[in-house]
Amino acid sequence: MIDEASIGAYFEARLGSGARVTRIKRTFPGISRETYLVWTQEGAAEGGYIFRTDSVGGPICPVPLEFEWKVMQHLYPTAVPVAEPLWFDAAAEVANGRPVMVRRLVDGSNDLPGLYDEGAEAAARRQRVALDHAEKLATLHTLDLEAGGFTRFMDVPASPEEAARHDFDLWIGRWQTIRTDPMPLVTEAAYWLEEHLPRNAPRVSVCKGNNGMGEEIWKDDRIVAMSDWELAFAGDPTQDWALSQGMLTLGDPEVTIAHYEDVAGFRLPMENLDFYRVWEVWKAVPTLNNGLRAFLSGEDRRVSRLNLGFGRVKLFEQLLGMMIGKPIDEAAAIVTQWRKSPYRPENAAS
Amino acid sequence: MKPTVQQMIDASQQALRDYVAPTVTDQWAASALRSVDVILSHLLARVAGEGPMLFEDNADLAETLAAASASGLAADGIASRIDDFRTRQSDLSIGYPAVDQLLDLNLVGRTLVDELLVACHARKGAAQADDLHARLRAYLDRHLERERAYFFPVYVGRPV
Repeated sequence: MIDEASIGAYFEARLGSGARVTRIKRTFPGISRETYLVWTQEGAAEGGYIFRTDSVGGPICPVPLEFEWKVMQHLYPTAVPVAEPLWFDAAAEVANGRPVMVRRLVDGSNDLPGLYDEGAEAAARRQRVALDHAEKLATLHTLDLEAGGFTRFMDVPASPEEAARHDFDLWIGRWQTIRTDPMPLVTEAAYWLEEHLPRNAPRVSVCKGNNGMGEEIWKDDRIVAMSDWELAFAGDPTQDWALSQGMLTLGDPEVTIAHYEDVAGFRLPMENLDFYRVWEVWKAVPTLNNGLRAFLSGEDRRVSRLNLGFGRVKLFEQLLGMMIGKPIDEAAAIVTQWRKSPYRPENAAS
Repeated sequence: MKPTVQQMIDASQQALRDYVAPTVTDQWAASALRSVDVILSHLLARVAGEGPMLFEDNADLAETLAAASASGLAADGIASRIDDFRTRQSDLSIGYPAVDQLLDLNLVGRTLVDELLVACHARKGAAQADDLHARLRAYLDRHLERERAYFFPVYVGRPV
């Protein structure tokens, strides 16, 4: 963890012209990456920034911070709402050589108080929120990868038919490199999933990865900035709906998807959703297991890293064991049931 | 009579839940405490059972890997490592082995299973490969069942 005085001095030196840091707040939980909100006084004006760096020992997710920086840099000129990326420092002294990314603070919150209240008014509000999210995803999914420069730094599938295969190969490669234990059941699950790879993506899109509730910045029930792009990829837009953190069940799923399709201008092959719901469980294994490496090496012995990188991974292995060999729709139903655990925002009110 | 390790872990966990958790207001401290609580639940399940579980699992691996050797599907490099595994497993069957030794051997055995799965899938459709694959799958199910109580439902719930 970086001390606040060092971050303050870093900003004052970087901004110059008598800028003064007035307040710093570390965001919770920041296990994979540390994020600080920084407020400044710059002459008569007030400024706000977000300072983001890898945790000591590296991030949980096996994707470099520079990738997230590049995604935001290329999204900022588009209609997709993202915070303005300001600078990237590949080896910042203030972070003992860790990479640092700074973006402008957007006025809003990742929380929507009262969203899960009882009554027709709250239900209508939830539907409006779901529709706004659907519009933002559609805007993202219809970007031109080539014209937007995404093909210069993203691994892009050769065609929509290859989208799922491409993501599969990418993550199998990562798993073979980073795994801390052979976990043969995870290997077997990969072979099972490989037999079910969809080949009917409507197009190759920039996808966000984790999205929806808890992942975006909202103001007046609208998304003002889409955040956390570390798991962004080029692939089947249907996959993002498998990672939409309860947005599909926030309102009427058919209404929400119909609105998305109207804005996007293409139909989603909803049968792919079941595959991606299961595939995302598999992907969670390498994503989290990567975090255990710094624990085992002694670089970062935080218990949160241990629980995510080991216990949670073994839990997902158990979950894969419950699904493996079943028809994909049955497996997806198991995931859906499992996801109804109480910490999920959409279940918090019940 | 002395208290068991499980009783000691249980008492520590209860003390944290009853006296420490209600006083914690800092969200990082509360998160760390939740993580410690989960780890204690994991240890409660694992401490007493892990040694016998690994002993049983290693014996199961020895039998499963022997079938792999007999199938002729194990390439030379793998076959000699299977022989080595079975020798070590047999040695550890005499006397009272340390849990760490059982754990190290288990890792070796599961690494071999992982490699054999890849070999089976490469020859999918061949009777010998499919037969060995079925044996390996059955072992994986048994292994998962043996470990289940350490992770499920222990790690279900809020992740941090």
